[in-house]
Amino acid sequence: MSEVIVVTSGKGGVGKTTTSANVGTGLAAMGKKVVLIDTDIGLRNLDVVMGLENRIVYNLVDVVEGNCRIKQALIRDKRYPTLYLMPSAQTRDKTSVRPEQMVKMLNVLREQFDYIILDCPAGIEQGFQNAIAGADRALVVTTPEVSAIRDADRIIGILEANDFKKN
Amino acid sequence: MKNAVMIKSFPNGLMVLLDEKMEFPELLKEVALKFKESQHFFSGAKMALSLEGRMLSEQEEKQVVDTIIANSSLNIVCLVGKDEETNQAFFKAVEQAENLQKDNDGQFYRGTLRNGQLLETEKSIVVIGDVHPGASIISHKDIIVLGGLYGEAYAGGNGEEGHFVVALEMSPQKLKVGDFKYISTEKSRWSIRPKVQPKIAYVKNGRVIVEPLTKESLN
Repeated sequence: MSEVIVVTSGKGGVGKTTTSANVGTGLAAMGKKVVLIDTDIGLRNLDVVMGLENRIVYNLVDVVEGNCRIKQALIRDKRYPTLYLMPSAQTRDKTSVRPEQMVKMLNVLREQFDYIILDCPAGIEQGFQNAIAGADRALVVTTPEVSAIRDADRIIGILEANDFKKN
Repeated sequence: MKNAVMIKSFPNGLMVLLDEKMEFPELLKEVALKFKESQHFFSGAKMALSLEGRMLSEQEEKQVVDTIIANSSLNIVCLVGKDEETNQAFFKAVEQAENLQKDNDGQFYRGTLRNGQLLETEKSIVVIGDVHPGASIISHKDIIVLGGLYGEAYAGGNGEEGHFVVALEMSPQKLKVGDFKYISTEKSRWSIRPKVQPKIAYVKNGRVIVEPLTKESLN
């Protein structure tokens, strides 16, 4: 049973990427097979946080467009053998991927991993729609600031409208 | 062949006489055709329906009704038999259905309205939950929030000022009743631990007044 978790917030800079990296690493340390997917196409950061940016060859957009196999785009973390990262493209934008394509890719990954963690971009546009399309569960990150909480509230509303349950 | 389907009217309803021998799928087509022809004649009428001349299984019956609905703008309230007693019962049913729609001017919403969500209705609305900042409720009649009102509320949305807004915690970003805006002296506060103090907002002498909900204000 694999689970797809999207880490989202609405507002930028509240710690989505940090949370994704740490939750993913934590699960891997428990011996679970984990893949972190950076869905912030054009503004990738997760690879930098993980310290894996110099190992990127292929990325999410390459996989979706069929330029490479999924396995080729996955970077294994040397510290945790069950932790993988799929970086996003830096030279493209969010419209390069459609929600159906994400769902299709996630369905393949589900067979190989226990946890798939999606690092969502800020905002509620296409990038956000892509990220939540195939997710089973969402983690909403916020800081104790009025603006961040307002955005988180909005995000929860959108997630509820997309049939994410509260628990 | 020509008269595989006949439509007759009886008080408060329609009787559809179906051919006994025809294959069922064929018959369905005939029904569709017949009702399409007379679409304009029946437009939007509330009717009872009686199917005669042929024994139909429950499923077939449903198919016939669905076909009729799909091919006309008839509003079918129920299916009836032909005898007088059921007819009477049926007449009552039509009347009740009509009354129900007329009286039904309240609506419930269960759950929290979040930032960016809009609830608009022509009826009075009771929200069981909070209205967060950035969410808005518009009702042509009254608004009752069983929770905190921190967002926007607009009662009497079609310009009638005789309506009210009630909330267990009244701290709206914007509040309007009819054409009158409430000018708040304090800023909207969206707190974790609300001070539950039910308040009512209504129009008096061309101004929106917010006051604690007491027995007196209910009169």
